[in-house]
Amino acid sequence: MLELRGLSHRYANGTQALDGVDLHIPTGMFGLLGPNGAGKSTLMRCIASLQTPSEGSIRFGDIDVVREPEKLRQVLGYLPQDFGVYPRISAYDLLDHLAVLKGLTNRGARKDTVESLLAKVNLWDVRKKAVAGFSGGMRQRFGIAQALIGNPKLIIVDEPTAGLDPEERNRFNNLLVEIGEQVVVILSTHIVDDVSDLCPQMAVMVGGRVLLQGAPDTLVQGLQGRVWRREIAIGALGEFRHAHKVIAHRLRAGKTVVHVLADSAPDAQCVPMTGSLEDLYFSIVVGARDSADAAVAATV
Amino acid sequence: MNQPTQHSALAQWLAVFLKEVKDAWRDRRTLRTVLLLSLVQGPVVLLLISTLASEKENRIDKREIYAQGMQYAPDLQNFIERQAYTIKAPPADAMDRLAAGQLEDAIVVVPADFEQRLQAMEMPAVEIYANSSSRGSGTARDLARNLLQSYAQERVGLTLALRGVAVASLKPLEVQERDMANANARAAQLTGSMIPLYVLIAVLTGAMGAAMDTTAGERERSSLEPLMMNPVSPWALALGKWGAVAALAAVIALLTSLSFIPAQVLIRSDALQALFRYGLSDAVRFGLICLPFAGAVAALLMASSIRGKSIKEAQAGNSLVLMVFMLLPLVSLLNDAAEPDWYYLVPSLAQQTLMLHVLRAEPIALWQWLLPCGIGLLLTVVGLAYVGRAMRSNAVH
Repeated sequence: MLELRGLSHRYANGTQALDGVDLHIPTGMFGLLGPNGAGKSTLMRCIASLQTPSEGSIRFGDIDVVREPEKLRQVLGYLPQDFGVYPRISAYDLLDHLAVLKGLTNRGARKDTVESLLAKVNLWDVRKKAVAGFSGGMRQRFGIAQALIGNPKLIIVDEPTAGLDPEERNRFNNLLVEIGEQVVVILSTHIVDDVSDLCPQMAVMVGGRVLLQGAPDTLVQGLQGRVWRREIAIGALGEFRHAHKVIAHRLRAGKTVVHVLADSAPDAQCVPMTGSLEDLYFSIVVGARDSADAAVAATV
Repeated sequence: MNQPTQHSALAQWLAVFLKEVKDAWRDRRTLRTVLLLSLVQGPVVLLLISTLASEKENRIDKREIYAQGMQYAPDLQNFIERQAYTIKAPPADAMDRLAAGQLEDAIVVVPADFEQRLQAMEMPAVEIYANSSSRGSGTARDLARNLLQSYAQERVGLTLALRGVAVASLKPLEVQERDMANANARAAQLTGSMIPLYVLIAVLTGAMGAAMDTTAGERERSSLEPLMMNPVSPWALALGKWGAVAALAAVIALLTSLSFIPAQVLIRSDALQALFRYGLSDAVRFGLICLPFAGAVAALLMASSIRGKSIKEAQAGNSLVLMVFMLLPLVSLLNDAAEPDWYYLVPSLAQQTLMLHVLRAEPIALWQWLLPCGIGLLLTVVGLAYVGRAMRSNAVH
């Protein structure tokens, strides 16, 4: 189990990327949702011991990650947001090299590992091709293969399905579910559907803080009876926003469809709807933004 | 699946080193270019030096002189022709071309009253027009001056002899010059300023590309983070990468040094051809001299590059490192005296000094070998310590 207490990180340029993050992450898939700039990647890098946090502690079982990062790296698999590869090396050779660095010094054992991983991520047929020539989906699959070297107990995947087509995304998610049954897998993403489909536990981060944590189904329950749907004219959104708490809007057939968060029907034309994880996520993000705006307005 | 084990720092270093070497080997095109350049250096440099030297020799062999007004000095004309020189009239615009640096020659101008003043022993003034900014013009000027001075001496000798004075009285003492320099040292007068510098430049430029690729290039490709995620110590990573860069720099040093051996057939200057002796043992010694430099340069260029988020950024910092190491050897060119001991403390200057000793076939003392090695090792350690630390620091990510 992974325990984060009071984790904060401030970059040299003054950006407070993490602000007192407390998280308890059990075995299984854990979804970390948040908009761009929420601090997800910073959090992932701190957990993965790529960065030392300014304050706070990270414990993975008996391992104090901040004090003993090298111990964590022996049981860690990490797929960063930008997984770069070397220009001319084949998938097999690169995976073999990473396996050596991971500590698989026995040649026979390493060969078995590399071959089984390539088969698992469906890259066996292209094992001799240069990784640099892989498509985005293939590269992500290779990334998960290298993250799985050495039976890691903690796997961190940072925005793994960004840029993948639906088929690749599906394939990738199935792979994650398969590996996520016995180990801690942290899926950091801004794609709500991935979290709702794959993760029994989740948290929402905005502005460097964890604003919500729990089981998606339980969290969404709290929304029931509070989400309303209405169609308004395209130009009326601004005015509607002033009067009601709009958490999402989209254009559809020449009208703007808005989702509103309210304890009772905002007006006669609003219809109740079953809240989804997406609504929950938007309500958190919008709420955080409104609080931030109010705080700025108060200081002015 | 198989479990990883904690492997030794040596095993980690070896894994990184072998991977970097294999990676460099895979990039055949770049490797070919770098190694070819190393092999071409020798022939190009020797051709350049020998061409400069042969230009001077050819001019002397040509035995021609531009002269204006030579009809006023038949005796002088006779003397010059007796020295097997051909007197040619300068072109109409010769003076303008000479002033503009377009005429690689000198023009002797004889005044109309030359003969009268000579007969009256009134020292007629013969002018030699030349352009000191032009190498060819300077050589022609020196030749003309020597000819005229020889003529003047002959005239004085004849005049004294006619008056019954022994010519030997003009020379109260005989000056005999003894050149203690051996043939190699004399050849090194021409080659010493360029050959060592080109070897050092080859090492610097060859190492720079590899150093940038293995540090800033990793960051640019975003391949550094996956690498750092493994239980490999940053020192093993830094050392493995350095090993590959330093090995390439050392190979370049050796190939460039070896390239001067077959290049000797391209020497166009007779004098240089006779004097320049450079064999396998000299090339090997050049290579050995450059080894500590190659290591230090690899480490320093990596240290300079690691802060760059891209190769382009790294290039800016590396240009400074290159400039320093390329300018340092010029210090010796400004020094006419024997090299001071502190030269051996300065990288690139120390190597250049040692290579000059090799070219001059002079013995090298043990301390002269060891001091640059020690400095090289120190710089390597400092550079690698910085790289290892930077690889783990927040600033890299």
